[in-house]
Amino acid sequence: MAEAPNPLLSAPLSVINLGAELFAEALRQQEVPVVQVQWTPPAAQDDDLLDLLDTLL
Amino acid sequence: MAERILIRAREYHDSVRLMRVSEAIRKSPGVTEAMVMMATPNNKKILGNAGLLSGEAEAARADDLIIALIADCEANAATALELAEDSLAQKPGGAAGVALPRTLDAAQAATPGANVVAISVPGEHAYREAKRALELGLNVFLFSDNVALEDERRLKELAAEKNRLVMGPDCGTAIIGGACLGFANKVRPGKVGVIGASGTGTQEITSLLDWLGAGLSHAIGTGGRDLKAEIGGATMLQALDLLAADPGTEVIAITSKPPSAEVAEKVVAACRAVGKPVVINFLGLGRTGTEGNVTFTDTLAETALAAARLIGANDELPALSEEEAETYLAAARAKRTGGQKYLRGLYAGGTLCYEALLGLKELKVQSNLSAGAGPLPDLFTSVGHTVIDMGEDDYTDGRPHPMIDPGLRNQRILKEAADPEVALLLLDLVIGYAAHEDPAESLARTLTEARASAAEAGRELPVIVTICGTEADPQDHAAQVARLETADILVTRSNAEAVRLAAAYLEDIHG
Amino acid sequence: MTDLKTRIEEANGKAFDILRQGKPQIVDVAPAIEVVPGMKPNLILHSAPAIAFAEMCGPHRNGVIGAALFEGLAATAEEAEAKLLSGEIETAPCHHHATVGAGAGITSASTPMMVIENTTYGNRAYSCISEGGGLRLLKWGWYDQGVIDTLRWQADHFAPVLKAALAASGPIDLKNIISRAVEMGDECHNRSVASTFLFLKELYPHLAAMELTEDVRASIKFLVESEHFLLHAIMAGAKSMLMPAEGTEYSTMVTAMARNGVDFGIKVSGLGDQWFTAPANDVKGLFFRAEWGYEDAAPDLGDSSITETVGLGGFIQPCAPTVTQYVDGSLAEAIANTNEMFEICIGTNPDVRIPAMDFAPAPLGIDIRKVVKTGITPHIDTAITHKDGGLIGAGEVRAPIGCFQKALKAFGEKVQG
Repeated sequence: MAEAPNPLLSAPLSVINLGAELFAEALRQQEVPVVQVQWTPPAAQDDDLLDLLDTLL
Repeated sequence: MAERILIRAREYHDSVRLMRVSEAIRKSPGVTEAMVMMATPNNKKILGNAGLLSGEAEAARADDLIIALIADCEANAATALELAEDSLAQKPGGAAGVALPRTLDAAQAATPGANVVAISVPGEHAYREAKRALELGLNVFLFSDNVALEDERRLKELAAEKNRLVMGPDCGTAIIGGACLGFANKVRPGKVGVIGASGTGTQEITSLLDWLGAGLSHAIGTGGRDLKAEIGGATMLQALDLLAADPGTEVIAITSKPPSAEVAEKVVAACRAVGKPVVINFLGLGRTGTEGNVTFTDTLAETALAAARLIGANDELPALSEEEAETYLAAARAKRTGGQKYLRGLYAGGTLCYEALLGLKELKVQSNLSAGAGPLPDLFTSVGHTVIDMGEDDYTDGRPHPMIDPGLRNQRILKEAADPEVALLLLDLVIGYAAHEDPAESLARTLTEARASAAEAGRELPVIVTICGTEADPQDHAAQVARLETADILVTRSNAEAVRLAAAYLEDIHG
Repeated sequence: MTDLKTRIEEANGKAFDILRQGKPQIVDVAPAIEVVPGMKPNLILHSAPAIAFAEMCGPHRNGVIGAALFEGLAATAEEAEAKLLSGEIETAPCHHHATVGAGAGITSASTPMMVIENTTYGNRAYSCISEGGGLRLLKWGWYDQGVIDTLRWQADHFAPVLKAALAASGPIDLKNIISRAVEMGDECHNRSVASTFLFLKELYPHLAAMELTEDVRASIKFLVESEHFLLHAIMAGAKSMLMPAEGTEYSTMVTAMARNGVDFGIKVSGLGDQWFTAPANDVKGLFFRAEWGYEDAAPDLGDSSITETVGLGGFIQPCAPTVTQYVDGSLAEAIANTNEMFEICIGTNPDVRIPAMDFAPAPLGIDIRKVVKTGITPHIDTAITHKDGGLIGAGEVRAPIGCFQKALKAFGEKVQG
């Protein structure tokens, strides 16, 4: 199935930031909408479970 | 002297935030050292080296937070600790009391309009998050490094399938419709689109496009390995298609270190097919001239200039007057002692360093980068002509990038100034979003101190600094230049010019 | 968000609301045989997931045998063991009978039960009444003549007094007691002193109004001496709040956590009655006497972690700084623990607030997805039981991750077909 064209260059930027808050702050400084994710490293475990989590959470 | 080492159980903060908190505490009165870090084995080593590893800190878990500081007295230590706790308590993002989303999915659910995910989590976790972002139909700005090459290949395959971009991994800069991602500058709107495999390469070109009056439509990052044979320029080719289709882009400029012949051919072929003029800069390949719609350039400045001319912008590259430069260098020459023979270049920007090495090929230069230079036997001790990239892991391990925290480079500047063989310092100063809020102040102070110590030993020390950035950047470009010039520093607006002047100065010495 | 995720979020929202809206009240005291669903004269209930008598840990074995003797189902321990092995005397988890039991959770036909009604949904849950203070109690897997005499006295003399007082007072609002007690130094698991006082404050006027018979005097003396008396009612209250949230299709909310000294088990709302288990962890804590140490301790034991399942106990340690002293802990450590619990919960509970955290509402409703994702497992305050019976210490323990991983896998299979 062909995916929709990439709207990256045509729509105003709206960002989800995972990791360094510095980058979210820089975006806020520019008045670009940004959501900071309170990201923490996942617990070590098997890939099957991580894949399942991607489906469920 | 008073020491404080505090463990806060199971409290996670990203490393950049912690570095900035550390830096803030170091500025607190009477504080001589401060480190706020997660208690990982690596960080414990760093604390150990600073003499800040208590038994309690040694026993802390990798997911515990350590606040360690040394101050000149108990009162100052207490104040600094309070400052640390306040800084850490500040909620990132949302209004007080609003819980931040904990996962990408939750964030997307809360912001249906989001179209880019910026990822700067530790490398080993970046693949999964980036993959998820693509699955959700989002473009990815992947700042994280240490992502396996195979994972990069898989991500870019998925990106092609989803018709989305993965900018990165190890992508420092992108500017989409004027909005800066990562380290980037406020560039006036224009009709040149840039695709860059490196962060500071893109920053230099886009800033110069601003100075040239040309401006920028978009700058797309690809990550440093995109043109490797294994990846085949996947992001570069997608980005070319996007800019080819973008009505706001009339000329495209691309910059990268020279790719393999096979990938180069593929990229050049794609450029010939876009139907718009393209300027190709394969740094160090030495290829110039125009073939059809494609123009090849050698330096970052020439790339910006060629692109500007193609859209009819006729301003000149910003440069010092010949007289200004000559006056400075002549004065330096007059005061030079016989032992002052060598150049020391300390760069924060990787591609700026790389470009400097290319421009100084004629000299026998040592570096931590290859780029035609000899290897530096001890990374922490310069010998002969030495030009290094202090943004590399070699130097940043556990410490912030010099574009955020100038501390490490400042130490190195003082060390170079104490070396009687040093004839000239060559430095860069990168401003723009996410960079240090006032880097000129700290650099000027350090250079003043460095020169004072050299003067005590009977030496003058000339300094050339190239500023990468625009007049609209939040740091105030004019103020940054003025601050440096007050400290008697020769300030250039492009790295190419800085390198040319440095080479000219050294030519006198070495003939 | 995908359809599946939306369904899960909606289901969790629904289960969470049910939990939040539960309103437990203490309504009665009565012998198990009269009120506990499915109770039989030859049935002995124990805490945690089902386990065969032969597999039971020391405290459970002792407790079950003690109950058999108390009920007159056997004349000697040997006879009781034989009948338990043959199945003539049956055992079952309390949880399977709308009941929860602290420690070994031993409950038999004549055990006097606290009856709690969740008045929002009209369902009832049960727990045996406290045996009072002391280290050697049936619930700690200890029996001797003294223990059996106390049980007899409770059944024949104390329970009727309590029942009459409750009849006079009318239902006592347990939810309200909990809301107040957590601001008075209780976390309502290892410490329920304030809740007990608040309960007795409701009850005293009615005890005082009764004819002061020997039984009434002895009952008042017993209540005054049992400073954690209300814990069992709080546990039954928690169970009564969780029961209506069971069986919410697509919900990943935990509806029970319990340990039998061998395994730690959880139940999940969208996964029906099935237990998911992993080996129980050892409890970390303080021992009451120098002679006892970790080598004497049985692994984690009891249904009392139902309190954590409703966001009390180890989830709100900062409410009870005294409790953290069991593990040499600090208030900062307790706050760190609670902050972690926020990360694995669906929401927060404005009815339970934590003074030491600026009255933040407590974390509530454990989501197995978040537990597996973060690797943070529920933090539980608990007692330490001797492997041969008897209470020897108190401390804290983490649920093992294994049972959450198993449950998530089962959930994945169920919803993905």
